[in-house]
Formats: sequence, C-alpha cells, structure tokens
Amino acid sequence: MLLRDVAAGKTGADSELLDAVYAQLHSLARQKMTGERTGHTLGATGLVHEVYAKIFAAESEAPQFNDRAHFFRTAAQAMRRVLIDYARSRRGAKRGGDGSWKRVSLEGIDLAKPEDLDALLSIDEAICRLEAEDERAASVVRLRFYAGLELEAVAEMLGVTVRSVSRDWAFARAWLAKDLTDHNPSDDEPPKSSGGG
Amino acid sequence: MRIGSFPVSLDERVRCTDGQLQSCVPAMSASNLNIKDLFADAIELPEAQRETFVRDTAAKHPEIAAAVLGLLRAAIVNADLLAEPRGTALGKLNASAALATGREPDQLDPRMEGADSLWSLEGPGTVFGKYTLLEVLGEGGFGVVYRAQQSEPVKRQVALKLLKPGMDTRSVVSRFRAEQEALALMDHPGIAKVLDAGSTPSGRPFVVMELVAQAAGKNDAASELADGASPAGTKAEVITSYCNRKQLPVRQRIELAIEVCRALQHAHGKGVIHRDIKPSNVLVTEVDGVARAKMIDFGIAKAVRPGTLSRVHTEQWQLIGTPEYMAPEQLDNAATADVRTDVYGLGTLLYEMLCGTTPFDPVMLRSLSLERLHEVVRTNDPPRPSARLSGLLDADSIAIQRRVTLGTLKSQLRGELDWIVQRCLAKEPQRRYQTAAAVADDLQRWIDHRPVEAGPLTASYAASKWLRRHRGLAIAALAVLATLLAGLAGTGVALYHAGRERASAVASASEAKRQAGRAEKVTRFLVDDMFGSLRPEVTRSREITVREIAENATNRIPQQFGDDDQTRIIVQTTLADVWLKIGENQRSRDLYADTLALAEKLFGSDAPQLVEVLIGYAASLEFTGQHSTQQNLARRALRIAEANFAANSPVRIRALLALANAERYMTDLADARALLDRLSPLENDQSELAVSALILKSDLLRGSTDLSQRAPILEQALAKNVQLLGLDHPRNHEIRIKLAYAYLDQSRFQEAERLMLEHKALADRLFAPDSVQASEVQRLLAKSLAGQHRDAEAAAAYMRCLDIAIIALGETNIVARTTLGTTAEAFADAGMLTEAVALAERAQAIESSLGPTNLDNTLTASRRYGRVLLLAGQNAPALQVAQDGVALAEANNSAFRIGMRRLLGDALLANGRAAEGDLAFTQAVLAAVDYVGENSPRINEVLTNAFQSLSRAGYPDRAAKYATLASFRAATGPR
Repeated sequence: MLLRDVAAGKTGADSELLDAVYAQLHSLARQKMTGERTGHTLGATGLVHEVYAKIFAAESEAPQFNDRAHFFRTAAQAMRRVLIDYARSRRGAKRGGDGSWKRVSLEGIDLAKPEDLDALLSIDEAICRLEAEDERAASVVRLRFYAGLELEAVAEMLGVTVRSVSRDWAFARAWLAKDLTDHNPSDDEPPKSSGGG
Repeated sequence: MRIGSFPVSLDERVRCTDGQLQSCVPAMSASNLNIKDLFADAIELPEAQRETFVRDTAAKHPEIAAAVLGLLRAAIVNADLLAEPRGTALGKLNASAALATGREPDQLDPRMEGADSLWSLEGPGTVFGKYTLLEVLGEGGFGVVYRAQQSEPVKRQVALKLLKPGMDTRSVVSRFRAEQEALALMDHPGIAKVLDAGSTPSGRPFVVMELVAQAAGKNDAASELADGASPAGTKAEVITSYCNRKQLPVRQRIELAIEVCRALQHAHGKGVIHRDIKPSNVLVTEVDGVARAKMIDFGIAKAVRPGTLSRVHTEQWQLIGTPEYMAPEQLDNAATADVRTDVYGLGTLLYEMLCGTTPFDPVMLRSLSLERLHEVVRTNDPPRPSARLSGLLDADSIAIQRRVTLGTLKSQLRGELDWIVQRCLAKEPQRRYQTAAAVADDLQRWIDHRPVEAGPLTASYAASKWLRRHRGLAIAALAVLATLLAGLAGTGVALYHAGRERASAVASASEAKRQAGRAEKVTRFLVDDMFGSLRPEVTRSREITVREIAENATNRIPQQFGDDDQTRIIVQTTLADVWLKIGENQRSRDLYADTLALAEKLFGSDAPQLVEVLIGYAASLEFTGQHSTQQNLARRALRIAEANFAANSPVRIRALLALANAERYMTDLADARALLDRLSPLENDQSELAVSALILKSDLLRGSTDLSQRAPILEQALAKNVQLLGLDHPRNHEIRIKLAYAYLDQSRFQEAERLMLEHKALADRLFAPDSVQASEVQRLLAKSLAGQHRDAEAAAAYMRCLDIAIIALGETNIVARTTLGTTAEAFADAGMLTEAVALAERAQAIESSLGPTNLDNTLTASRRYGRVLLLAGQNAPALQVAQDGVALAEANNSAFRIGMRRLLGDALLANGRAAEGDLAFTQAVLAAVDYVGENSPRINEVLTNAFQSLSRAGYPDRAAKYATLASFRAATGPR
C-alpha cells in the first residue's frame, strides 16, 4: 500500500517508504552480520537486490509497484543510512588516517574491520561534499555505491545517456579521491603496511 | 579543491552519442568548458596525451587545467577507490536492459575491453568491398546494425550488422558460411533474407541482411538518403514498441504473433533454428496500412554462440545475449538449441507482447551470479501473464496500450492465453509445444474461441517444481509427498472421468472449460495454500514435515472450497490419502468419512464418483480393528465400480484390490482365495497394477498354511517393478520390506538380514534418515537379528527403529506404536527386562488412551505388558493387567479374549493361585472353540499352551488333562 501511495504521489509517503526499505535492509544486514560465521562483508548490491526481491517478487503479500527508478533511489538512501548508522555505532574512538579508504570497492565493505568503517564514513562525507559541487555526479556515486547499480541502470534512472553517467562516474571517483586526499593529508604518505594505493 | 569557483554548467555540457566518443572531442569549446567534461574527455585518452590535451583545450583557463590535472593524478594514484569487482558474472552485462522493458538492452559500453580504437574504425561513411555504411539503424545483442549501400551485383540498400569486436572473426564467419546454404533456402515474407557475411579490413565479422525498412515498397534509396531520417511510415519498428505505439488490442497482437509463428515454422522447415528470438529481432512494418512482422538475425546466434557457456565465457557475457530471453537448455549448452528452444523464445515474445514485460525481471537476473541465474531460469516458473500484471505499477497504462481497462486485460489473459504462454515457457522442451505451428494453431484457436490445446499447470507438476526449488530446505519427506500429490491430479481426473462416463460423452466445450478451471483451482490451492504458506524463509531453521503441510492444507480446505463441494471432494480425497500414507489413519479416516458424506449428498449413494472415496476410506480403516466396516466399504466400492466401469478400467481394478486388501483380515480365507483367482489375470499385465496384484496375492497368502509361496511371488513383484520403474523406485522399498517379512516367516533370517543390509543403501538415498522407511529397514534388520538369536543387536536395532519412528511420526502414530511394542518385546527377549517393562508400559498407556476404536491394539499392548511383567517377576501388576484385559476383551466380545485368558492363567499361576489359573486356561479353550470352531487347529495350540504353562509352573496333574485332550483330538479329530 505504501508503495502505491508513493506511486500516487501522496505526500509524506516518500519518507515512510524510506523507513520501510530501511527497515528491510537493516534486518537483512543484521542477519548477514550475525548469521555468517566468517567475514562480515556487506555487499550493497546483494542486500539491495534482496530487498528488491522481497518487495517486488513476493507476488501475493508485498505491495507491488514498478517504478524501479524510484525504488533504487530510495534503496540507495536507505542503504546509506544502514551503513552509516552501523559505522557510527561501531566506530572506534579515533578515526582513520591510514588511507584505508583507498581500498574501498563496490564489492563490499567488511564491517568487521574498523578501518573499513572509517573509510565508509570518510567516503560518505566526501560524497556529501561532492553533492554540493555536482549533484548528478554525487547521485551517480550513491546509486553505484549504495544501491549497487550498473552504469546503464543509473543512466536509465537519471534519464541521461550511459556515456554521460560513465563520464560522471569517472569524474566523481577522481574527485572523491582528490577530496579524500585533501581531507586526510597524512594519506599522501605511502601506506605503511599492505599496498593500499 | 573548489570547482564552484568556475562556471560549471551541467546544462551546457556536451551531449555525446554513445559509442562515438572520438567525434565528441572536437566539439569541446571554451564557451562551455567545464572541469567535469574536460576531465572525462581527457581520462579517455592514452595517459601520455592527457596533459597536453588538457593544457591545449583549457589554454585560456589555467585554473581549470590545473584542477583537471589534479583530478587526473588522483584518478591514477587512487585507481582502486570504488573500483568495481573484477570478473563478477553478470556485473557488467549490458545492464541497461535492467530498467527498460521492451527496449533493446544492449548499449555498447565504451569502457569495455579497450575497444574504443577498434570501434571507431568503422562508422558511417566507411567503405569496405562492395558495402558503404550509411547510418546506424540500431544496436543489438551482437553488434551494431547499419543501413548500408551495396554496389554489386545489384545496387541496393541492405542492413549490415557489424558484430562486436572481441569475437573470433574467422570462426564466426566460417560458422556462418556453413549455415548459409540453409539460410538461403528460407523464402518467406516474414523472414528477412540473409544475403552475405564476411569480415571488415579491421577484422570484424559482419552479416548482411535484407533491409526491413525497405519492405514498405518504397525502394527509393535516394530520397531516404537525402532526408537523412527515413519517413516514419516506412521504418521498421521493434514488434513490442509497434504494438504499444499503435495501441493494438490483445487480439491484434495475437494475430501478429501468429504471423511470427508461421514465419518461424517456415525457417524450421528449412532446418534453421533462430536461437535468439526476442522483440528486437522481430520488426514490424506497415504495408498498405497492414502490419507485417519480419524476423531478422537468423543464423547469427548460432554463428557467434557455438557451444557451452562455461565459466570461461562469463567474461564474454555481453557476447552471449540477453538472459531473460534464453531457454533453460541454452544456458546449459548453447549448442543444444532445437525447434523447441525457439518455441520458448516465442513464449517470451508473447509474454512481453501481452503483459508488457519479460517473464523474468532483468534487474533480478543481472543481480545473480551465473550459477544462481542458471538455477533461477531452470527452476523458477515466472508468474502467469495475467498474474504478472498485478505486480506492475504501470499495469494501467499497459492496459490502456491494449485499449482495455486493467480488469478486462487480466480477464482476457487469464486462463487460456496464460496457459499457452506457460506451455511455451515450460522448462523441459518436451513439455512445450513441439513446433511453432502448434503455437500458431493454439493461438488461432483462441482467436476463433475454440478450446485451446494447452491446459493449466498440473498439480503434480507444480508440486514437483516447488520441491525442486526448495530442495535444500524441504526434507526428503516432501519427496514422499510429491509422489502422493501426483494422486491429486489423478483423483481429479478419475472423478471427472467417472462423471463423464455416466453422462456419456457430453463433453461440451463449456464442460471442458469448467473442469479445467477446477483443475486450476486445485493447483492454486496446492501451490498457494498447501505449500505456499510454508515459506522456507520462515521455517528456515527447521525442517518442514509432511505432517505440517497436510495439517496446514487440511485446515485451509473449508475457507478455500467452502462453496465448491465438487472440488472440495477432490482435494479432501487427496489429503486423506496423504494422511493415510504417513500413517495417520485416524485423521485419514475422519477426512474420508466427511468426504464420503459430502459426495453422497452431491452425487447420490450409488454414483461412480464415490468409488475412489470408498476405496480410500476402506484403506484408512486398516490397523484400526474395524475390519467389517472396511470390508463393507470395499464391497460397496467394487459394486459401484462394476456397475459403472469397464472390466479392465483402473478404477474397477483398484476397487477389486481394495476388497482383496480388506479380505486379508477375515478369519476364513475362502473369500480371499476366491479373490486371488480374480487377481490372477492382472499379474501378467505390463503395468504397475501387476505389481499391486502380486503384492496383494502375497498378502492374501499370509494366512495360508504354505508360507513358502509368498517369497517367490514377492521376488517376482520386485523384478517386475524394477523392470517397469527402475531400481530407485520407492515402491521397491515396500516390496523388499514385504519380502523380508516373507523370509522371516520361513525363518530365513540370514536372507532377510542380507536383503535389508543391501536395501539400506537405496533407502538411505531415497528417504530421510528419520523417515518411516528408514525405521522400517531398522525394524526388519532387528527382526532378522532376533531370529538369529543375536538378541542384544536386535534390541539395539529396535531402539534405533523406535527413535526414528517417533521422530518421523510422533508417538501416537500407529507405526511408532507398533514399533514401541516390538521394541519392548525385543528387550525382553534380550533379557533387558527393566527397559522392556518401561517400553511395554508406555505402549499400553498410549494404546489405551486412543479410545474404543483402538481396541485390538490396546489388547495386544496389554497382553504384551502383562507378559513382560511376568518375565520381570512383577507378578502382582501382571495379574492386574491380565484381569483388566480379560474384562475389556469380554465386554467387546473380542477374539483377544482367548489370549487374554491365557495371560490371566499364567499370571494367576505366577501368583500361586493354581486353581483359578487352571480355570482361566479352560475358559481360554472354550473361548477358542467358541471363536474359531471346534475343529480348528488353533484349539490344539491353546491346549498345548495350557499344558506347558501348568507343567512349567509345577502342576503336572492339572496340566495332564489338556495334554490328553490334545492327543485325543490329534488321534480322532476330523483334521
């Protein structure tokens, strides 16, 4: 019903939807984190698609709607909140500075590792700064990073060509890398242990 | 870093066409220069050229140049940031399809395989050989299609498909050439002719086809060239978008689909399989205002997709095609495609034409690993088109595109069109339509309002699908259920059949439709209520038992079928059978009783529809001690069956078997023997009935004096079943168990043991470790061990058997109860009396708690308990048990009064009450005479037993008279 409300453009439904998707993601994420013996890699793609599957594929029970674009935008936001909430709650007393953000990939974030949590927070802050400069590039990153979408899907969602998204993406990655370096000056030094760069 | 201080204008950014990257670069000018675009252009250049390019382009804006160069450095130093996982299966699959429905998914991805330089070698204006590329018509799964000018042997425009770089050009071209002869034979207005194939100077394969846009009859290349864009009317359009743009109603869509089928049939007739049917390969043009469908790309899939999609190919997924249109067998092995693979393709096409989206959600498919994708396509049934509509937000606009309301569209699709599509999309090729013509014919039947050939999903098929999907979670017990569920469909069919025989071939179309509707309803019940409500997600941590499923389904019957008694009868009959098969005879009996009443009310008391219910009802009374009721029900079943069905009809034979089954319990076997003669003709039947007849024959012989006949009959049954149904068939279990019993009856203990040890391997494979069957194997093992006086081993085996039975069935289940009793006896035999007493007591308590209908079992348990108590030297409680048992047996005039009085005699003797004991034995003899007749050999048994008990207890004088009587009978008796 909720999703239909959103589709019908009812006011307020949007944030309710976000809460619903958030709740789903959160419980899934918790399952993943507690249920698996080794590693706590939280794959954004996997989770978001599981939520997608839950909301869209359960024919009988779940509310149905087909606005995938909207779903993924919401899911990206919700995923971001799940990750950031988690990272904030677990973060160690002192943050980062070891360049760990450089290794963060789209594959997943290992929530068992404090440095990954730090990296996540750093990147999120950087994405917020990017948003102030180039809103679309920031959207592209969020959809890729938090919702795990392919360039093509992002393009469809934003109503621009794949090529534009691809350019946005390349730009955003470089921008974030630069921004993170600027905000974490110590990172300019070569990494001490494993090759993070 | 601040880019805000520069004029960043996203709106003015250069819009580039995908795949034409080089041509974009010169478009960059100072007026709309911004950091992002400059960066994006630069990063696509070889690293060495970037700096120069940036400095040149932004010569007048050194700040911009500096910022861009900073970003470029950051990009290189931190290349891993937010890097994409390498080598994930479908990750990079041309996923623009993800969000588009009905749109060609394959955008060329400029990031791919460094193809840019190669890619740019050919483009509009390129000339190679006799072809000049004119303009891009579209981009497809395997490459880009150009309108091209051919210069010889005739001047004409053609469609030239330039395959994507990265393919092995030589093998593609040679495979294409190999196919060309067959392709050349195709001559059909619905097929775009394949004209030529070759490779470009840069080594890319290309294929030349008839230009479909020309089909409109305006063969005026010059005007089209001059216009730049061709007039809309002559342009070919992808079939789905054509249908939507023209807002074709369902009927016209089907007509168009029929054309596609016919064209495909033509190709198949020439030995050409398309292998890649999807909307973008079916173009529509209008000829004099009439829509004509034309298929393109014949031969291409075969040329580029030669073999198995192994892990190695995952990197090349973009070359393989679009998974949402691929048949399950193609995913396994692209080379296996046959006519029916194309039928599957037609199914996806129809699906999309009807309900506006593909059977599988492209986003979902692309989020899966290759293995999961295979699994999903192989095992998941997509929703029926009508059901799929309910899941789409834009369902209303989809309906509008078909010029109806959503409700109307759903009802148009529901039923027959759903079935046709589902049949095309069957996982197993042999379950699909076997030819494209058959699809066309069925679609034509729908147009003509004739009943279609495709039927709804059958219950057993749906059940087996469900099981396959949840294999990891559902325990093997479900496999048992699956076999039973085949009966659901069967029962339904038999009932309809019965109804039809009576109404003698009045099978009108509406009748057929009603029946089909009912079958559909039953299937839905099965899938949604019986199984559907048991979500593996919910029951994840524990196993789903048959009992839960049956319980669940039984509870839901009233609300699902409250208003449809006829269907309710079918469903209840099946469920009652399920209860019976898992040993819940009482649940089964109650449900059958209810069903019979319902059926009598609906059909009358002599109606053929009653036969199946009566047969099942009779079977449910086994082991409950209600033998005469069982016989009456079976007799009634046979009588009705004989009045309504032909002599060799399966229903009638089953009724006969049911009666034979009931007769086994008669004390006098004369009638049973008469039945044996009636069963004899069936034994040579080449079907499972022969196996049933043989098994029953061996059962009937159980009461005979010559037990040696049984084993050979069962060996014959086993051989036959193996021959008919294979070594792994579950029924082999039943036969082997019976055979083991037969060996035991003849004291062939070692053979029984060997048979069971050998059988255990099969049982372990077929059944769950805690299934009824597993416990049976243990029981038989235990028995054969006991026979060899390996008592301790036997007791241990019994205990295993008991544990399993209780887990599998619950303590009050008949099989578990029986096992409990036998285990008690085994422990007694092994001299482990404490355990024996405890088990026997528990058995007795359970049996007597089950009420008056459980009399036989209660008395058996009491007698056993009394015996075990005596063995353990607990004489006073034993006497109490014996006295209670005698009272209960007498009150019900049960045959057990004989045995009970013998127990009472022994108990009295053990308590030192000799005179009363003697009297009890005399009363036992009298009861036996009363029950089996003076001349029965069983009298001697009772006499001998009394003699033995009394002499062993130290009363030879009292014993003597029984011995005298026995020897007197032996000398003079009529036997």
